[in-house]
Amino acid sequence: MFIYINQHAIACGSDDTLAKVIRAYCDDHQLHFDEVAVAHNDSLVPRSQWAQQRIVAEQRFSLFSAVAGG
Amino acid sequence: MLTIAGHSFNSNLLTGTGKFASPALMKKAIAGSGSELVTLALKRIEQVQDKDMTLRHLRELGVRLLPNTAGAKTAKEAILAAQLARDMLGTSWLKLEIHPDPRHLLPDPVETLLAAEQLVKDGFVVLPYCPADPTLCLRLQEAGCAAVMPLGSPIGSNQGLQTRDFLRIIVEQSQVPVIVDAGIGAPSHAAEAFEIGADGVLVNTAIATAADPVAMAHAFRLTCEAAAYSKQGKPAQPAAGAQASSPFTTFLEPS
Repeated sequence: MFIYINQHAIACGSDDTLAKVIRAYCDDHQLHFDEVAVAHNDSLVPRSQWAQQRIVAEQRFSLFSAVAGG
Repeated sequence: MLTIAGHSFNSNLLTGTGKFASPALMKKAIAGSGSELVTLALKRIEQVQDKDMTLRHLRELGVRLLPNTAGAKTAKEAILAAQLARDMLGTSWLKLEIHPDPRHLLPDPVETLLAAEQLVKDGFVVLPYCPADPTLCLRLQEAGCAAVMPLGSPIGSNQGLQTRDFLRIIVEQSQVPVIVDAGIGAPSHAAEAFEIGADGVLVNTAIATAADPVAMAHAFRLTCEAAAYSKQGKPAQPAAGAQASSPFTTFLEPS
């Protein structure tokens, strides 16, 4: 099945947790797993829930990182 | 010394990390500024991008992070940005900024107050970037903001304290630290802010886009340190006319 992270279709297994998917995405995009945050339907998905949260096909997540800013 | 929400900083200079030619240069400039409270932004990752080293460098410097909500156009968006920042960075400190107009980047007072009220309830230490409106600053203070950060002039304009008359009123009324944010383009502008009575200044563009950012960061550091000493020394009051500093009137006469 597929889910979407920032518009990118990501193939994943039905038993995958959000933590597993985010970690794989970070590894692929040279991001640090400990330095990202996730939103779903314009709401925060707290990091503390990632390990327990099973993903559902077609879910769309937004991934954020820190950048320079004033 | 600058105290915000019970936390004391040796430096009254806050700095931003945007617009530097490179992350390494940013790190050197921030280190040279002596700043201990430093802003950064959040960004939705759109594509494979060069790794942004801002966070890594700031962690190495050991400064306190002050994530902002830049890009938010409404209170709702700013609240989500705040939640993301806290989850990502482990800090409840927040520079709240909401500016829906991309041309002038002026903060929206209504959305800013709405967001501030909610974020304070949610346990954030809120430092709102806001118009130099004395009434709004009072309302933000009443909402529980840890400081107010009125603008001196538009973001990145380097125009100095175009709002000086209103800043004076804000300083006079405020029970929380007043940090002049936006528009400070030269160390002299920072000095003027402190002479008005501001507790701190936030500087980004003036340092990042200077020909020598590290030297400019040092110049701001010295200016802000001088302002702190001046505050301690309490400047003498102006007199209506000349007041002799030497006993020259008796030089040729027996005493």
